Amino acid sequence: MSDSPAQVPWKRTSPFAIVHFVWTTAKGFADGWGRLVTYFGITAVLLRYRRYLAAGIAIGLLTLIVVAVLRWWFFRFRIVEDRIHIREGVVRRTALDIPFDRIQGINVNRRLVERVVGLVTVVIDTPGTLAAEGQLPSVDPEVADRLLRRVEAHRGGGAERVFEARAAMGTGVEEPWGAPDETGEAVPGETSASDAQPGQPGRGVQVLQRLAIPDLIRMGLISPPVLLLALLPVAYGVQLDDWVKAMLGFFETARTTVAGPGIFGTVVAAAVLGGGVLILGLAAGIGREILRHYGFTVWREGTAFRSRAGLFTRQHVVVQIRKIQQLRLNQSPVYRWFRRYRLSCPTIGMSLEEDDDGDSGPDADGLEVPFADAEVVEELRSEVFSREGRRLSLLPEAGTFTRVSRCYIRARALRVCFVTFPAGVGILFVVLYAWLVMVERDIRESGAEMELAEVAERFSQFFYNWGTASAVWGIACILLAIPIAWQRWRRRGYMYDEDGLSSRAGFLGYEVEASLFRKAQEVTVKQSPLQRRHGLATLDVGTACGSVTVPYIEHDVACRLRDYVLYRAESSHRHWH
Amino acid sequence: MFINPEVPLDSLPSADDLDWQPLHPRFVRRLQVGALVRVLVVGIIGSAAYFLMTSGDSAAMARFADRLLPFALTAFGLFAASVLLWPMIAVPRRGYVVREKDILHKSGVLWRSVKAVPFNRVQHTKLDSGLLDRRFGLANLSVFPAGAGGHRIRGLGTDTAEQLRVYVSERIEAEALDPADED
Repeated sequence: MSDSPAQVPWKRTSPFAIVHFVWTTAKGFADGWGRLVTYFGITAVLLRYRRYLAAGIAIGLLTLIVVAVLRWWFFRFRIVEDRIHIREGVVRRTALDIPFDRIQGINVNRRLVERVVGLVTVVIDTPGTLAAEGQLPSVDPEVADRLLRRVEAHRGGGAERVFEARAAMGTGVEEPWGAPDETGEAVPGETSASDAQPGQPGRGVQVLQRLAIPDLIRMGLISPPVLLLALLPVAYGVQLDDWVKAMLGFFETARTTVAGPGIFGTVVAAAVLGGGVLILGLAAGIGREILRHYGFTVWREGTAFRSRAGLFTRQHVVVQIRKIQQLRLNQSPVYRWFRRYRLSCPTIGMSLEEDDDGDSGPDADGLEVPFADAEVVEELRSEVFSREGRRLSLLPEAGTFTRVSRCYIRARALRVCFVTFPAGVGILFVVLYAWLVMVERDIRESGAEMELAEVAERFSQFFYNWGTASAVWGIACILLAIPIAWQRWRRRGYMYDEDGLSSRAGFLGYEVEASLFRKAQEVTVKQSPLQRRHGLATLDVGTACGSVTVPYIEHDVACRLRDYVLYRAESSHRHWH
Repeated sequence: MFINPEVPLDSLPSADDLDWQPLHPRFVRRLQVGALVRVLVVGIIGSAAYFLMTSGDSAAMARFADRLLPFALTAFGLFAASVLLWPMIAVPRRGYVVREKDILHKSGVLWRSVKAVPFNRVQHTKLDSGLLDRRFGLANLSVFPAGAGGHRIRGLGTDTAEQLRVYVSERIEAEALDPADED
């Protein structure tokens, strides 16, 4: 059947999509530091003029709902023979035409509300963008199924892609989310993958990791909410007095009722107060991790990795192994203590960096294993790289990493100095000049006349003070920069074999990136003046989702590696995506 | 049958000894005109700021502006000289090479870089030219691989840029016809 665009009517999504638009509109308001400051300012004003607080909140909510309804009203989509058309936007209209052959993956998510009303959200990943390009919020599962069938038919029924789409849908989309399987790991080979319940690993597949509650608790102990909770009073700076008063009142009550008067009582009360804040922060962190990663399971099924997680909003990610462009491993100091790693497997167009533009769409789904041990890391590495890159390692402790040149220490130290020293000198100038102006104003206001020599004396004193303070600051910068640079050099390392490259970096923790040469999109050799003087260079192998960088290696090595990477990328007959 | 013969590294084509193609000779003049416009804008804004500071009621502000003037003029002179002279230094150090399998671009005076993009990774190309570019008969060619940064080769002659765009597009199509092995 051939559907010309003119024959296919435009459709709206379900009205429940308004929930989605409320969420994305609120997220759009809240994103970005500039906006954050503005909203804290508005909050502060409202808190100061409390009689307008209720009206302000009501107006804010009403605006949110009106904008969301308008966005839903203007959101249209239609699926034609070879592409999907999406039209959206109230003021700034956006027209998206996504050909089926550009679609890299289709993920089907269900939020709690959607689960109740039997709808799904379809997220369409395409290459070349940092975010998922298209999204159909709160649509009937039948629409998602039809889209998958069209994509499948357009591609001539490529078994792999059909599998991915079907897997994402959970075959019959009536209930993609089964109850978490707590029965332990599957027994390979007992049954086929097709016997699996939708949305959970079948008995014939290989489960790589399943996170239990103790793991989530350990993850929660190092979550950002601990810090956010501590910053809460600062955020509401206008009401800081009230906070302090409340804290002091609580402190006094605790001191007199629990521990009694005296220094011992004060210490005990302080410990109780501090402990209370800490426990609250830890509970918030653990709660966040349980919400996000409850029942986290990652497994391999056919040619794809699949993961699922979430207590209320469950997310099911399907990533074809061959589309993974890089492996990225992070290990913060606390993760080191737990001997765990955060492993990401970004696909085409994905970036793990924060997207500042709140309007650019939802984040593209990628596979992330948030709390992997060394065994899981190695297993995932061998699964992704398969027969290639056997000698590459992702584990930062591996002794096979080669250190970069010691010139790197000098370069990093210079960089730290070049950033911090001028900034400090500028601040010192402003502070001292402001002080000088204030002194002059005081003298003028007192009616005293200043002799020319006295003015010159004051200026020379100003420059002397500024110079002395700058010199002290410069020495402090150097003393600070050298250990920082030395530590970064110790963490820096690289290794390569005939198939790929792995690079290690970090300051307190570790970051390791690895990729296969045949996945390279571009190769750059860069040289700074310092590198040229010492015959060094920086090699940057760009992939479709970032790059693997090796700084301060021999220029000859960098050039030979560049030529070899180009040879592998240009001569490879294997799919890079 | 899967075969995997060893490739001697010395036999690989090197990207070091290449015959780099220079950019169009008029590109220096085009950058200088662009820089002159920027200098004029900065000069007008600075003059307006000085006028506002000295013509106001605040004597302190006028005194501050007078004290600042020599520093501001020196900084402005250095800025103007550097942006007007810089193209003469930077443009001769830029260049590009088109090979059968890839396109290379070098740039940078102090921080130098040589970037290579294989044709079988290029997703699309773009040709663009601004008002000044068109006045000088120049165009810029951008080559975009998936996800990564790609090249933007500025300062090509219009004809050269169009020829390059056509060639790169043909190479992309030729590489797309080359069948990839199924994994």
